[in-house]
Amino acid sequence: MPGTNNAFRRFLTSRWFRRFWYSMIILFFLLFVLIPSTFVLSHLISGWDKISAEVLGDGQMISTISNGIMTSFKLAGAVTIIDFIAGLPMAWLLNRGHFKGRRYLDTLIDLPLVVPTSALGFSVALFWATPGGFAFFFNSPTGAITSSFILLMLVHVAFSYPYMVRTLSASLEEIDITYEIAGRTLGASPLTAIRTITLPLFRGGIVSGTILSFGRSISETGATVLALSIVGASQADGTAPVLIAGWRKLINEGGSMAEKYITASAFTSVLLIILALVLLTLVMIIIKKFKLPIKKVWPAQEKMLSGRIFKYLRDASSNIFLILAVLIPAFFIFIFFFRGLAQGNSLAGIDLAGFLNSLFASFLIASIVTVVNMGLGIPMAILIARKKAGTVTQPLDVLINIPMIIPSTALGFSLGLFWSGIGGGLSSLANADFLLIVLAHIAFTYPFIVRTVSSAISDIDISFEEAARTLGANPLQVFRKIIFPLAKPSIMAGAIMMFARSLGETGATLAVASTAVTTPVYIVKLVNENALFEAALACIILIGISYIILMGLRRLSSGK
Amino acid sequence: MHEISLHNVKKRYGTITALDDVSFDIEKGEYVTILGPTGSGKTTILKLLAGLIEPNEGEVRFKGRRVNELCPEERDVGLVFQNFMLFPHLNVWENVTFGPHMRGWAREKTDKLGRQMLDLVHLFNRALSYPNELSGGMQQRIALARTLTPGSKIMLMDEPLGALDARLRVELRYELVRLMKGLGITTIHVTHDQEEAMTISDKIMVLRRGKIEQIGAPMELFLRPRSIFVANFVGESNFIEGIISEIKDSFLKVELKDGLTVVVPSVDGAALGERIVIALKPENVSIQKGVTKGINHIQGVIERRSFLGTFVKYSVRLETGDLINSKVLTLQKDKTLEMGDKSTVSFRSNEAVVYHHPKDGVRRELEVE
Amino acid sequence: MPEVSLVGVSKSFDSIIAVEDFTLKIEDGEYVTFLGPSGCGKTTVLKMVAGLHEPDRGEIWIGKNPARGIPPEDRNVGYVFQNILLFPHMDVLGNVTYGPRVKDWPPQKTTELAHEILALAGLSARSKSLPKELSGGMQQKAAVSRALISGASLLLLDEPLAALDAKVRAELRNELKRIVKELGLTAIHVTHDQEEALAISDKIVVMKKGRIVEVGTPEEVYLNPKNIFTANFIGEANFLEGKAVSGGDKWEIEIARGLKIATCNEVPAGDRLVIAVRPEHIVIDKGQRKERNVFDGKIEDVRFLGGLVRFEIKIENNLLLAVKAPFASFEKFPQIDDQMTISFDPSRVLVYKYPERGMASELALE
Repeated sequence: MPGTNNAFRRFLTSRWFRRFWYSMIILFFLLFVLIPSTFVLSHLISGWDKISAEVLGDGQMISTISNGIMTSFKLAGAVTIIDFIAGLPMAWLLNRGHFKGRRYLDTLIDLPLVVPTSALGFSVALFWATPGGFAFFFNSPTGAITSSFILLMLVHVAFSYPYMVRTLSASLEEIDITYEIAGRTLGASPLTAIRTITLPLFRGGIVSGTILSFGRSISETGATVLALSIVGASQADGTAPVLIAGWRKLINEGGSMAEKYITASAFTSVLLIILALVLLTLVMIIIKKFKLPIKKVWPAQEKMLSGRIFKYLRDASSNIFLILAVLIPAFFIFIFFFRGLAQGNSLAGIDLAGFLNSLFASFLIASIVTVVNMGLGIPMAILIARKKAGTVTQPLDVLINIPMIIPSTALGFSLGLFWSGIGGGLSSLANADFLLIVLAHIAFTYPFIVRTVSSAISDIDISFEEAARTLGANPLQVFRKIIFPLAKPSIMAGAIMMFARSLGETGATLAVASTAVTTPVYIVKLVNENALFEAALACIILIGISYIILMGLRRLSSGK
Repeated sequence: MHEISLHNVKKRYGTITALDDVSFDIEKGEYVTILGPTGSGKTTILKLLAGLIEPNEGEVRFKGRRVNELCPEERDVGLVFQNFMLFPHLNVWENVTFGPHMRGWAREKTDKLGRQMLDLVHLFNRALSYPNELSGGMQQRIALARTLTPGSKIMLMDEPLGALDARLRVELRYELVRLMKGLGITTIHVTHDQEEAMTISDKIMVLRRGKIEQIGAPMELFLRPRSIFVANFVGESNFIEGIISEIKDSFLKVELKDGLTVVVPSVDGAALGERIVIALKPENVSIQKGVTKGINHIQGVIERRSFLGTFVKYSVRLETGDLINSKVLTLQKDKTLEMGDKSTVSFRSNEAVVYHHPKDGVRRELEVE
Repeated sequence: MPEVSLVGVSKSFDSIIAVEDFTLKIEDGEYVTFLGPSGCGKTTVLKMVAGLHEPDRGEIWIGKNPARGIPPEDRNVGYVFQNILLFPHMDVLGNVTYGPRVKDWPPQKTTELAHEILALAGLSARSKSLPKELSGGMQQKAAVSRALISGASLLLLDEPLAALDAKVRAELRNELKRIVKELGLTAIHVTHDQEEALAISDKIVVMKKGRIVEVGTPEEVYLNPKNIFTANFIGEANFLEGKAVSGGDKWEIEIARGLKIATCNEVPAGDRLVIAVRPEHIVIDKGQRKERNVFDGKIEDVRFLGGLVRFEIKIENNLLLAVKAPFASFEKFPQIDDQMTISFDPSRVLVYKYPERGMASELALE
């Protein structure tokens, strides 16, 4: 029946259908990602009376909130700066270096990305703050680090550093190295060429690296709680997400104070969201407008600094940083566990059924989120990369980033408010908590897949599509046969990142449903009960399983 | 019924007009080149024909039928790219059979076509190679085969030889014409290389700033260029400015800068005392050593001599201050001519082409970027 | 000062040999082109002269000094890239003054130099434009100015015209030559375009697969190429295979039974040979028959090339010969299937030994 077939095809390729399809994608983004994530902002107006009465009127509450927020931003700022300083030479090495083990180094950098952050944070905290860790070498009776702030900094650097390096090196790859070579044939020493040519062209990469690193640090809850608990600091020394998570527990327990804590959480979330948006916009503007001193040169000095010794020093120090500040602390947990095993520690504290349940829940959530977001994020990525939404494309491109920038705890809280406020609330449903967690995870992982895939697609020459179309392929065939295979590595990388992010998330989970138990939440509970050895085992199992799954995904992406 | 027509087509990108009221007809089986500088709108025409963009105004017609709204996969036209655009994740065989595959043709038919087309470009032995294992010339042959398998009778080529070495380009262009003519395919070939256009086309369409300057057979464009731009762009030309001092039958007497006069053919609307521009192909300018006298003989000094293989090109600074190029066949060259020699250039009246002086000046007409 | 000598230079990348045993002397003030197909190693040699690669073996001398170990920024050579590579974040003036600035020259001197060089390149009016606001030709002129401002006396040009339109290319190559000669520079120009090489070079170095095939002036390599590859790569040629036959004081090559071609070169009888004749050296005969190398044929293909017309003419034994004749020499434009008599002078017949590896490998362009 060629007739009907043709009519159907015509319908599918008609302008009207195309518009409808694009609108649906955008609508999904607005309804399930953007609006729920920022819904709490409306609370500032609708709930102002409560805020002014219950929070602003309470001096102690104000100081708790402002302390938490200060800590959050100080921490995120410090971590971003450290990440940048340590990450830039590493990105350089990965991109412009010529040495044998480059591929292995590349994989090493990625390794912490696939470890769930709470497991990673736990490991790092154990390394720095327990006597058996770094302090072991000095025979110290206490941990090497006793300041909670410095510990948090070390923990956050460990999990955010790979994001910074990845982003910087991806953007560095796009800058034609022959610009530098041109500079050198004109008489510039290598360092001068980098400073005056590559760095000014590199601003975009610095902006996105900063945003990602800052966003990751300000969002993290699980790792922070674990580290605080290990160093023995009170939750009051914690960051704003830790506060919200704490309140959420109290809210669930009910009682007369519950209302007040809801308001306080809302207010803190609003502050976090607004401050994060304002700060990152400022950073973006400053980096874009900041004039590097490219007019001034110091030929002799820069030539000296370009020398072999300095290059060697730079490479060596960035490798030492990677190993000492990221890799060893991240995987210290294995040493901790096996040492404990050798010393005959028992695993009495572990409740096997509960743990397995949490594992099941975690992986189920991560899988659902990955599948849903692949289905809905990839069309969005195409829409952005190929500018199919006309004048709406540009704003969309910016809005996509918002769930990545705002702290996931605030996002979770906001999302919880949104969905329980609509139509009597989802809370009336049987599996309300589970559904809410999935919705929250969908919201904050969405940008990862859209960003990765859209940049991959815009790298694919549009002429490939044009060639396929003129050879007789319809748009769907073009996607299946051309775009998808060419963008597959990036799509898989995005999927891996989403999966790992969902698996490691604590803050958003706790913020929407404190009773639900995912593995990171379970680990937090174990640590709070001081069952460190059992927690370590749980972490190792989590790392092991996620590693196997991610390797499977990676194999999928490399195979045909 | 014309195979392909454009009717008063306009295409704008934002505020930039890429094509301004373009109309033309192409007949079945013709090999047509679109020639023009970068940004003149050549590729825009191809994209309009392929259905990758839609015109803002006007109509695109295939066999008299309006196809403006038809999407690329329904038009049945082949498109060949400058950078080949072979799908990197597919091997040669998969690339070549991509079209039939997408149309869901029977396996047997697809295999037969693939085999046939690969044989046609002499590359069946590389069927299992991947594009990155092939040289540039091979890649372009494969791209050609890929475009031919679906059996389209219209072929669009966007600078198909532009990414290849100069020498290879010359060799492949003959192969290209032979192939298309042999299969009876109507071809539109975009290029900025006038030599390429000249050697392979039935018809050349010269494009400038989104408008058609002239359409015609290569010889027509070479011998009777309708504008100064075409005279310069299609083969080079010398341009000399002067003032009409006498009109006689179909000839003009023109006074050059220092009072010297030459005789050239007339131009429509020529008026006494009018400023005009004379165009002369370097191939039509003869050069002799020393001073010789006669109609259209001008004295000068050889300023530069370059050996071009088939030709030797002399640049002569005339007494009038103009610089004139003369191309002499190497075989016939007067061996005694050297740089700095006093010499005389001459040309036959009917080989000159005359234009009214352009209002923006000659320079502007000669811009090729 | 800057004569350049390369002695036994070799370079490999991984296991692929890019340049092998390259020996060449370039005189002060010479304009030399390296001509060859893609992948013949011409750019690698250029990059070694610039210091962007170090040779594995052999020495490069720039002026009186060995260049080994000197980084590119200290070699004082100007380098122009195929893809132009003006720094996108600086205007023309910023680009052009980049060299002096990174060397910390006094600003006043830098400005003076910049104005001088921009005037020479005809770009004074565009000094405040960003690269993307310029046409390709202007961009490349700015890039040449940038390469020359610091007083480099050796200019290295890596396919400088390849990214430009054919028409612009032809105009700019004359400009390049003019600038180089006006400033008295030594220039090495890499290209795969034989016409470009012929038009601008004092000396052409023909390369193939990492080795020098031959070196000569444009006239030498075009009119008397020493080997088959050069004859094919530069200009067009008809190649015929045959055996030398003795004929007293006449030297002849038998192409097929009864079909002999006379040559002025001495050929030992019995040798397997290849001859080459350029299409424009074949003359269309109009009655005045010569005694040697005269053939009757039929036109198979006619193409109008502008000043010339190119024919393919089938002569006896189904041999196809390309012939080019000036358009002006015809009163009536010849048509396909017309009969025609052609001849060529024995002195125009180039003779080569039959290549060991066969003709196909000798004529391969890729």
